[in-house]
Amino acid sequence: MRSNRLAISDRAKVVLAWSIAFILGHSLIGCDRSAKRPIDSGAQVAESAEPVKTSEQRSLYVSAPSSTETIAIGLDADLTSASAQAGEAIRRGLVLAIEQVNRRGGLLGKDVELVLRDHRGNPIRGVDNIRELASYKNLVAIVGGIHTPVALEELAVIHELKVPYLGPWAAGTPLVSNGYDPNFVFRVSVRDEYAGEFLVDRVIDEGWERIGIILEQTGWGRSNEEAIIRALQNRGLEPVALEWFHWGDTGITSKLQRLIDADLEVVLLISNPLEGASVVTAMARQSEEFRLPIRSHWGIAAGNFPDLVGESLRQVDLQLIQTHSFLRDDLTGREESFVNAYCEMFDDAQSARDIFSPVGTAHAYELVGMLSQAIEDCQSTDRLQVRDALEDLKAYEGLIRFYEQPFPADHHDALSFDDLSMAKFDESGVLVPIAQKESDLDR
Amino acid sequence: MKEMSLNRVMLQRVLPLTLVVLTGILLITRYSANRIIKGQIGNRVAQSAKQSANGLDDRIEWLRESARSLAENDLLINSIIDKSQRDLQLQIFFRSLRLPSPAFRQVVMSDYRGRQIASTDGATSRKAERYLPLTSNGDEYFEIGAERILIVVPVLYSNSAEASVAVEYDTDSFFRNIQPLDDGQRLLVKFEGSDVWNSSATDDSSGWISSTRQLQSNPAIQIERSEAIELAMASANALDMFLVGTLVASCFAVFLAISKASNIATRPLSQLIQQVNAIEDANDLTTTVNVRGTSEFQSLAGSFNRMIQSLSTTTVSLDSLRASEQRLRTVVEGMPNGVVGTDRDGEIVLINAALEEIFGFPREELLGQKIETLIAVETLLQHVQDRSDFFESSDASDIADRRSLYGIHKDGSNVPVEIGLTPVRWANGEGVLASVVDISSRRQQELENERLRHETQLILDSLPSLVIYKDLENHLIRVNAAASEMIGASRQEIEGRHSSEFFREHEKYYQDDLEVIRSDKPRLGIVESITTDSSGVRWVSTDKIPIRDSRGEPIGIIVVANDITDLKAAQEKLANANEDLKRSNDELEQFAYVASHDLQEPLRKINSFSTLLVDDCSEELSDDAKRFLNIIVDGSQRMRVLIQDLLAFSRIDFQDRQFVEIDAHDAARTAIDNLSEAIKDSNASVSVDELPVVRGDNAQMVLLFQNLIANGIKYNQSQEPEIRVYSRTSNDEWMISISDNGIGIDPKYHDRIFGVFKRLHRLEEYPGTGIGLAICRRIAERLGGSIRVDSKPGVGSTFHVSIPRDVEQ
Repeated sequence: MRSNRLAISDRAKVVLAWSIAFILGHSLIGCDRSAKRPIDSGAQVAESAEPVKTSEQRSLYVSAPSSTETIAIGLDADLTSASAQAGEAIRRGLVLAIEQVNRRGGLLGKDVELVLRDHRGNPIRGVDNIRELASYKNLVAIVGGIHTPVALEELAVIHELKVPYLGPWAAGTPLVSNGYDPNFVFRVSVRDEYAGEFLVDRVIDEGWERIGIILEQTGWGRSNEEAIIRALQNRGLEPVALEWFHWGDTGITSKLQRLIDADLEVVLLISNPLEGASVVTAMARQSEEFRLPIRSHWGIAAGNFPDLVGESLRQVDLQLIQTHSFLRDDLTGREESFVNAYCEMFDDAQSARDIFSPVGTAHAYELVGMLSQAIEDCQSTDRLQVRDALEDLKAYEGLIRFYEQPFPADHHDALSFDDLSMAKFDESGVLVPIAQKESDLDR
Repeated sequence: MKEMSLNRVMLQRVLPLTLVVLTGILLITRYSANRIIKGQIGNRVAQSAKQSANGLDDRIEWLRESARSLAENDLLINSIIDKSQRDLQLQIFFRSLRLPSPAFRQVVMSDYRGRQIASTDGATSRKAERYLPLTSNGDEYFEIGAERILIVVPVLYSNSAEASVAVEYDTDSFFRNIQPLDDGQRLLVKFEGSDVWNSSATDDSSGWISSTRQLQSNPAIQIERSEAIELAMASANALDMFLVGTLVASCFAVFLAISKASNIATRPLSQLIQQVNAIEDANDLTTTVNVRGTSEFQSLAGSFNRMIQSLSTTTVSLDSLRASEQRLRTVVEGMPNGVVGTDRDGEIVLINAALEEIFGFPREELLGQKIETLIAVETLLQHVQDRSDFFESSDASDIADRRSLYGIHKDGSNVPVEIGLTPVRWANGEGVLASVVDISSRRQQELENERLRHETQLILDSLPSLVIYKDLENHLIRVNAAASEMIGASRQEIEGRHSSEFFREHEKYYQDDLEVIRSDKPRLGIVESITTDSSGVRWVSTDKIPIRDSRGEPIGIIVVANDITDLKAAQEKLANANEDLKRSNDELEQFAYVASHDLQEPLRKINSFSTLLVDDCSEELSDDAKRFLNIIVDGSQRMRVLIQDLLAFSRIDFQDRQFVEIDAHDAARTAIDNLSEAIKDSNASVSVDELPVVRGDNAQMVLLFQNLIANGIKYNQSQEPEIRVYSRTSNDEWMISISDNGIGIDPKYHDRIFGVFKRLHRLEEYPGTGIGLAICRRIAERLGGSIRVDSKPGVGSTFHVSIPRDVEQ
C-alpha cells in the first residue's frame, strides 16, 4: 500500500491542507466558486490506496495521518458507490466539527485530522479498512457509514483491535446490542428497534392495518424485519405480505407486484437508494388506483435518491424516517450557527435546504463533539480510556438536543424513540419534515 | 554353356534398359499424382482450420458468456454484502455449481483483493495478481494455459468491482471434446503466440500439411490445423507399391522371355533385341515387336507385346486416383448451390448440375468459356472489379463477402444471384471457386412486398380522409397524402416520428387511442379539433380502430379523420338561423296565446253587462235596443268561442307535453264518447277499425278525431250520416283516415280549408269558428306528419292523417 504523507510544518498548515482537500474536491465536483483559502505550496493531496476512478474523487482522500503529532479520526464509509452521498454527508459533519475543534486550539494541544477509507458498501473492504485505520497509532476512533451489514461484519475486528467505533447512521439493532463486553460501538442514530415501532405506530395512526413489507436480504433487513413484526404483534397484527430482495436484484418489480396483489393499504420499505428507487419507480408505474403509499426507513435518503427516481417521486405517496431537520422554524442558535458554518464551508450550499442527507451530517458532527469532550475528560487519546470516557460522558449539550448521559454502559444508543419523525421529499427533492398531524390532514 | 552366355549377354543389355525406362515412368506418374493429392489435401486442411476456428470461437465466447451470467447473479452480489448468505447459501450454491462443459474444473469467487470467498472445489491454481489489475477496473481476464483455461469476470455493484468470479476449464479436455480428430489430423492451439495445446504427442512440425487461423472474437488465440502427410498420402503410397510391383514383374517377364528366347535361337533374339532397342529409343510403348521364327518366338513376341501393353496400361492403374476425383465430383455435383470454378483468367473449369439448372446452359457449352458469359451486362463491370480486387487482395485466404449480382440465363433473362467466392488452387494454378445461390424468388418476394406497399400507399393517398397508423408508443408509422398535407410535412419526414412533434394536443389523442386499444372496440365519429403548425385549427370527425396482430396482441391503431371544418361552420350557421327562427316563432306564439288569453277578460265583461242589461233593464229598453243588445250578446259569445278556439290552437305547440304511446283506437273511442250527444241527435253511425299505437299527446289525439268526426256529422245532409275511421300501415308511416258521406268539398278549396278562420259556408248554414281543421293540421304536424283531404261535392270527404312511425318529440 502506497501512502503519500502531507508534508506540513506546523499545526495551522495541517488544518489548511485538509480544508484544501475537500474544498478542492468540491470545486471540482461542481461548485463555481474558487477555493477560499490559500493553498500551501508544501501541501500535497494524498492519493488513495484504493483504486481511484476520477481525479475529482482523488482529492477526497487522505489515506494516512499526516503526522504522529496529530490526533486522527478515521472515516470508514461508502464514498464512491451507490450510497456515496451519505458518506459525503457524514464527512461534512466531521469536517465541520473538526474544523471547530482545531480553531479552538485542538485537543490536548494537538490538531485533529480525518483519515478517509472507502468501503463502497462492501463489508470485506470494510474489515480491511478497519485493520488499516487501527494500525495508525494516533488514531483514536473510527466513524462508520450508512451500511449496517458492513458494520456488523466489522464488529469482530473492532473488538479484537479495541478501537472505538462511532456510528452516525447505520441503524441495525445488533450493531450496538452486539454482545461484546466492553462494547466499543457508540451510536448517535436511529435504532431499528425504534424505527420499526415508529413506522408501525405511524401507519396505524394513519388508519392502515393491511401492511406489507419489502426489505433487503441483509443483516439490516433482518434487523428491521424483527423490529417491525414485533411492533405489529404488540398490536395484535401481522404483516399481510413480506418480500425480500437482493442487492443488484433485477426482479424487484415482480416482488412489488406480489405485494400489490395482496390487497394492502401501505407498504413499508427497508432499502438503500438504488433498490429503493426501483421499488418507488415500479410503484409509480402502477395505474393510480393500485398505487400504494410507501412508508420507508431512511436508507433511501443515502444517495441521490430523488435523481434516481425522477418524476415518480411526485406520483407516489412516500414518507421516510428522519431524526433531524434544519428546515424548522424554531432552529436554536446553535443550529443556526451550524447552518451558517456549513454554507460558509461548502460552496454548493446557500441555505439549510442545500444540506443534503442532513441526519448524516448532524449525527457525525454530534459524535465528534462527544468524542472531543471524552478526550478532554480523560486527558488521553488512549483508545481504552477514551472508550470509558465516552461511557462516563454526562450532561452533554449537543447540536440537536441535550443528552443527560449519551452512552450509559448498558445502552450505547444516544437517540431514543422520541427523536424520530417523518419527512418527505418536496418538489425539488429536498427532505422536508412532516408535522405530526400533517399525515392526518393528507388523508 | 553357350546358351547361358547368350542369356547373360542379353540380360545384361536388355534388363538395365527396361529397368531405367520403367523407373522413369514410375517417377513421373508418382510425381504428378503426389502433386494433385497434396493440393486437394491443402484445401481440405484450410477448410477444416476455418471450421475449427469458427467453432472454437463460438465455444469460447459461450464459456465467457456463461461466466458473465454467473457474475451477474444477485445472490453473488448480495453475498458480498450479507455475511450470513456468504457463509451459507453462497457456499451451498458454489458446491452445487457446475458449468455445462465436460471440461469444467471449478469456479472460485474472490474478494476485491483476490482472496477466496467461495469455490466449487478446494484449492485453486489461480494467480490473482495477474487478473486483479484488470478485474478491479471492471474488465474481464481471459487466459489459456497448457493446464487450464481461466476466465475471470468482475462482480459489479453500482459500477464498482467488488469481487470476481474465476472459472476454470481443463485445457486438454476442453479442446479434445470440442475438436474430435481422426488419425492423421492434428490441432495446435496457441495463446498469445505460445503453444498451449497440441492434439498430437509430438510437436515436430515436419511431416504435416498445416493451415493457421486466428480467432475473430478472441484474437489472442491462433489455431493450426494439420494432416499427417504420411496418412494423407496413403493412396499415393499404394500407387508406389503397385508401380514397383509392376516394375519387378515386368523385369521378371523380360528375364524369362530373354531366357526362353535364347534357348530357341539367336537370330530372332537379335531381331527382338533390335526391335526392343528401337522401342527403347523411341520410348513409344504403343509399338509392338514382330519376330519371324517359330511359334515360340511368335509367342515370345506376343508376350513381349503384352508386356509393353501392360506397361502402357500402367497409367490405367491411376484408377484409384480417378475414383478419388470422382468422389469429389459427386460431392460438388450433389451440392444444392451452384458451383462454378474458374482459373485466374476467369475461364470456367468446373461446373455442377445446380449451376446448369440456374443458368440453363449445359456444361459442355460453358466449360472453357469466360465466366463473364454468365454475368449480366448491368453487373459485369462490378464483377470484373470484384474479381480483380479478389486476386489483388493481400489476404486472399479470406472468403470474399457474399455479394449479389445479376447472372444471365440461357434464355436471355437476368437471374439475381448471390455469390460467395473461395480461392482455390487448381492443378494449373490458382483460381476461384464460386458458390452461386439463385435468389430470384427472394428478390421476387421483395419486389412483390414493395409493390404491395406502394399499392397500399396509393390507395391510402387516394382517400380524401386523413389516414394515420400509430403504434402503441404514439409514433406515426404510416400516413396518407391527405394526412401529410394537413400536417404540413412530407411522408418521409413524418413516418417514424413521435406524435408530439406534429400535434399540439397529442396527449389527448393518445389517451383516446389507449382507451380504444384497451377496449378493443372501434370508436367512430369523434368530433374534435386538430391544431397543427401548418394548418392551424381544423375540425375533424375521427374514427379510431384498434389493430391487433395475428396472435391477438394489440400493435397499434388506425385513425381515419375527415375534415369537417366547412361542414362544422355551415352547421353552426344553420343552427344559429334555426335558433333565430325558433325564437321569433316562439315569440309569435307567445303573443297569440297572451293576446287570446287577455282578450277574454274584456269580452267577458261585454257579455256579462250586455246580458245584465237584457235581463235586468229590459223594461227600460226599447225593442230596438233589446234587439241590438241581443246582437251584441250573440256576437260576443261567438267571439268568445273564437278566442277559445284560437287559444286551443296556439296551445297545441305552446304546451310542452311529453309524447307517450297512445292506442289511436282508444283515442278515437274517447272522441266518439265526447260527441255522443251530437251523434245521437244526428242519427249518425261511427265505425272504428283496428288502429295503430302511435307516439303522441293523448288529449291532442282525441281532439284530432273529435274535430274530424264532428265535421263529418256537421257537414252532412244525409238522414243517416256514416263516419268510418280506419288505418293503413306502410314502411315508414301510419295513415289514419276518417271518411264521411257528407256534402263534400270542392277540390279548389282542398288547401284552403286547413287555414285559420277559413270557412266555406255562411255561419247561418253551418255554425263554427273555422279553426277546427287548422287545429287538426297543427296536431298532425306536431306529430311530424301531415293531413290532406280527398273529397267530391255531394259524395263525401275522407281526411287522411299521416304519422311517421319513428316519430320523436
